[in-house]
Amino acid sequence: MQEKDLLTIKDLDVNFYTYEGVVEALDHVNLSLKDGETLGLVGETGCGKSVTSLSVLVLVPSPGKIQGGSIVVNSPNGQRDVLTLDEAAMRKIRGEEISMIFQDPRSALNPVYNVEDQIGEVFMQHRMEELNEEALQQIKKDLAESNNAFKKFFLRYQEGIYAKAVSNPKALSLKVISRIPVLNRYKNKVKQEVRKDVVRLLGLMKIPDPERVVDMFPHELSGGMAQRVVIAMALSCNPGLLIADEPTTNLDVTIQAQILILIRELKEKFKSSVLYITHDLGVVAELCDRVAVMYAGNVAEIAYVEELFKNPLHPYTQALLESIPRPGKKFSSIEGEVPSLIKPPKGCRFNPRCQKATALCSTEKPALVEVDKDHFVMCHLFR
Amino acid sequence: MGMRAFIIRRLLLTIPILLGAVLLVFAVTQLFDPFQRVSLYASDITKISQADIQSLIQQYGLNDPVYLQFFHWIQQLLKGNLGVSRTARQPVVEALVSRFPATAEVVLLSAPLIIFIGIWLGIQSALHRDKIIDHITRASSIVGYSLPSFWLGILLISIFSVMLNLTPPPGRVDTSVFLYTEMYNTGYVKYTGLYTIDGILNGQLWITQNALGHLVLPVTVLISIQIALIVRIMRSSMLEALNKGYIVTAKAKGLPKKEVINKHARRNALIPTVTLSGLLIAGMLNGVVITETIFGLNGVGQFAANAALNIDIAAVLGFTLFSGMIFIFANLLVDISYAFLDPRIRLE
Amino acid sequence: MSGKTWFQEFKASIKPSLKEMRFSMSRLKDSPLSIVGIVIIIFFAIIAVLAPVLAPTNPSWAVYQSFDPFKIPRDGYNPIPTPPNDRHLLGTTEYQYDLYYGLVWGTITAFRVGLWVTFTSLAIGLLLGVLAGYYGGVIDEILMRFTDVVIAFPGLILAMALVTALGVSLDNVMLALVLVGWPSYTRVIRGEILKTKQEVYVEAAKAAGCSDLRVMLRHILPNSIYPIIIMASLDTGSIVLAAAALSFLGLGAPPDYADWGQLIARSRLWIVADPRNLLEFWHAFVYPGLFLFTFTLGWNLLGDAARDIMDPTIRRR
Repeated sequence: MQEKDLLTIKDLDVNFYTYEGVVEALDHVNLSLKDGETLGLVGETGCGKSVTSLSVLVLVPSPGKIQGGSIVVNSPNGQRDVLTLDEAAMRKIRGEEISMIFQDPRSALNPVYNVEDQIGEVFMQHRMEELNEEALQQIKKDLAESNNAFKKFFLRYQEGIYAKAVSNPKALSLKVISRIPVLNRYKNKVKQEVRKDVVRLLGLMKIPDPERVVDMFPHELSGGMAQRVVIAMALSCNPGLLIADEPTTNLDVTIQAQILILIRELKEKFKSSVLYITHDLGVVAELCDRVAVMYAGNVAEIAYVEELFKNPLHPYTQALLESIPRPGKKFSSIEGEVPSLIKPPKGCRFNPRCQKATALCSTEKPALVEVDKDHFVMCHLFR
Repeated sequence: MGMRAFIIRRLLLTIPILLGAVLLVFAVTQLFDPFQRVSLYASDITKISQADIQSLIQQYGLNDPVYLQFFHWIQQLLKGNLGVSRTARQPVVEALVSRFPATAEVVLLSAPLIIFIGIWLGIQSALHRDKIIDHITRASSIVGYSLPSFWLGILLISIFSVMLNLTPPPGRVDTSVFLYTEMYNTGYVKYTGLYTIDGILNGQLWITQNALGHLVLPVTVLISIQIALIVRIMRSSMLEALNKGYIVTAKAKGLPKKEVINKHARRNALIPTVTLSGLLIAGMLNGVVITETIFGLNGVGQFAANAALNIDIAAVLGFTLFSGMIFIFANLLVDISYAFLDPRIRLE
Repeated sequence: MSGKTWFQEFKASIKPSLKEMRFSMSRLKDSPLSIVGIVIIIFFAIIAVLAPVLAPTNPSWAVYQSFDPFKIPRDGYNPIPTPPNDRHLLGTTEYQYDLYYGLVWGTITAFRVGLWVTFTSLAIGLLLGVLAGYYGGVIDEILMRFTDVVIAFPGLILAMALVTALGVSLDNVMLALVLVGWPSYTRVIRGEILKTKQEVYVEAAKAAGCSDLRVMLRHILPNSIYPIIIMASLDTGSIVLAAAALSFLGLGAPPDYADWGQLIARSRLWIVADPRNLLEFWHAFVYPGLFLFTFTLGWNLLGDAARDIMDPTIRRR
């Protein structure tokens, strides 16, 4: 692990305890992501890509449990193993330092709240102090300019509350007043600010007519728009790491292209590192700097994109690249099926399907070794 | 934006249902023979004699073909005449109106309790699934739902009123209150007809207290029976909501657990619950008939039960129509709340 | 074609359903409440079946003999209930009707009322719901308006009016409950059919040339059926309670009939009258109530369990 690594996953083990048995979803997964780079995570359905990404945010759903390993995040607040943090500290990281965009934008959005609400939430959760201060400034300005006695009265009332909010955000009086119906109108000040920010953010997402979209509900948005809203939610607080879990899989091909271009632009603009999960090698070639190939809960190979395409080392990666249909080439696929992870194959999990398997492969599990510079492989053929 | 259009559309939809309901009640009236139906048209109980009955039958064509009868009946209905109640010795409308406050009192006290406690219990059950609190809540609400309301009521009276003397005997208020409000010249004004509220408005808190004491058991009965419905639906819809994608999104945004549950899950879980509160209202209307009878609350329910026993047709049918109207109106409100909660509905 | 025998193929085809069934059974075992429900119903079923043995008709002390086994034998004319003694296992209620007899034969009445009303409502609802759901159009509209109108009234109240009109008797109570109950079933079934009709596999079946009836029976109904099963088992309990309520109000079974609601009505006066005598007369009140409560509880537990097991959205959690 180097100094400039933003994220380092080491020996991550995740199990799912189901009625049918214990699913060993992730088995000693090792990954690292450098600051500013885009790492692609590819693999077939069920290989553990999503579980890995959810683990980074410690959001693995039950019956899953993180059994062991470490996930070290290099943030402005220092280097921390996410798996050792308590919930409160984790909440600060989620949405602010690391955020996530999901595969199906329709189900990722809450149908009963509009866009302003859902994006605004992120601001209100992580940027409350700044918002309160800005509101206070605004009120002070308004007070100075206003002549109307009524207005001045309301403004003074709001000033008092915001001053309290800035100095002591956890004050009991604040908690009480925020629940009383008419008195809690003071919140509108902050909400106005937030709305402006949300509209601006939507504009950055290249959403046309953001003023109108802001009031819409998820069912009124098209697939592409909804995904842009989800991306907006994720980027709102400028996270250092953006995890994208197959964000274009559920979209039309033309929309896919748009979203990819958008993501590429945004990661430049926001200076985020991206962990991009996909099963589409074409997307990887377009978007990513480095790529990690996963199979059945293990990381098979990690390399720079060009290197991987030019010189795939792991038999699985080779077979994968082979199976990409090309004009003039015969149709080929990988023999066999992805194994059940309840009783995974002993040794290397790919060995039943591997053409180059040896006796060692079915007894001993290989380690992830650096074969060339920045080119890691987990295979007994390379020691 | 879609809200206003939705409300208008829903109001328009109510009209055919109202018409249908009226038709249904009329159909039931036809099950009686003309002599019995006379009471539906008489407007003054003192003047009923054999000759009068004949003339009424003539006048309202009770022997005429069905559509003519319907016409006559609707006429009476629109004039606000539901007939005369033999058991109450007053016009049905008067009888219902005078007894309505008693019913309103017990319903207004029970309904919010059922809703809020039920929702809370449902959420807790869902959050602590398969743990002790879940099992206790579900078990007790099933037990409550399986209890015969009349049996429970009598049981509670015998234990708490008769044996332990903790709660007052059946009735709305003690005799002392009755004398104070009805008999003596005390300047007591009946603003609403509900003792609980009037007591406060008249500055006589002891009356309110007295009325509340009498309401403890009936309200308990109503709650025990009805709460299961809310708990069950809230629990299952909460479990469903908690499994949805937007919950993961909310957590990934860094929102605290309380906010995820209350703001995101609960609002969605309330939608099926609100949809089912129509059933709750029906249950309450059904429930008051029995509960009022047992606890002697002298409301419309007790009136109807007594009338049915005595085959007081006008009263029974008048009450049926009346409760139907209330129920239709309540469902209208429920549908509007549903649209308020779920923006997707407004488009339909 | 593979070399498998007919039997081997059959076994292979039902393997997934067997697995699901085993899963259902294990879920059932995990839920103690549902086992309690099943046990309760079996208990009452045994009583109902063995009624003539458990409580023989026309015992020697009966004041008069009757051919109708549902008429409870009475031992005298004294209005005051007798506590349990050698002659009357559970004592008598008002006017000396034997309580034990009433409870045992009342079990049959309970099953009769609950099951008959539920099945009839379900049958009507199934027929009309399928018509409305599958064919749609005008039929659907008319039926829906009809159900809307009936559902616009609270059930018990409308049933009360109907019984008043039709005449007071247990049979009329059952009829009234059917008249009030069929719309709910119709709506649920119609809803399920509408949902299933849109599924792709139905279109596929039609494209493959299946007749309407075949599509209905093999594809739509099996997938729509489980909410109706849940509804029916929950309903049985409520129907029995509703009928008991009507009997209690005096609108159902006559005073000497073996019906639990009727028995509770008989005991009412004696419970709320005099604190000293309370304990003396409790038997007349508590036993019928307990029977009624437990019976309903059994059905409700079963319905709840059925829902937990069959509803695919909560099944695997």
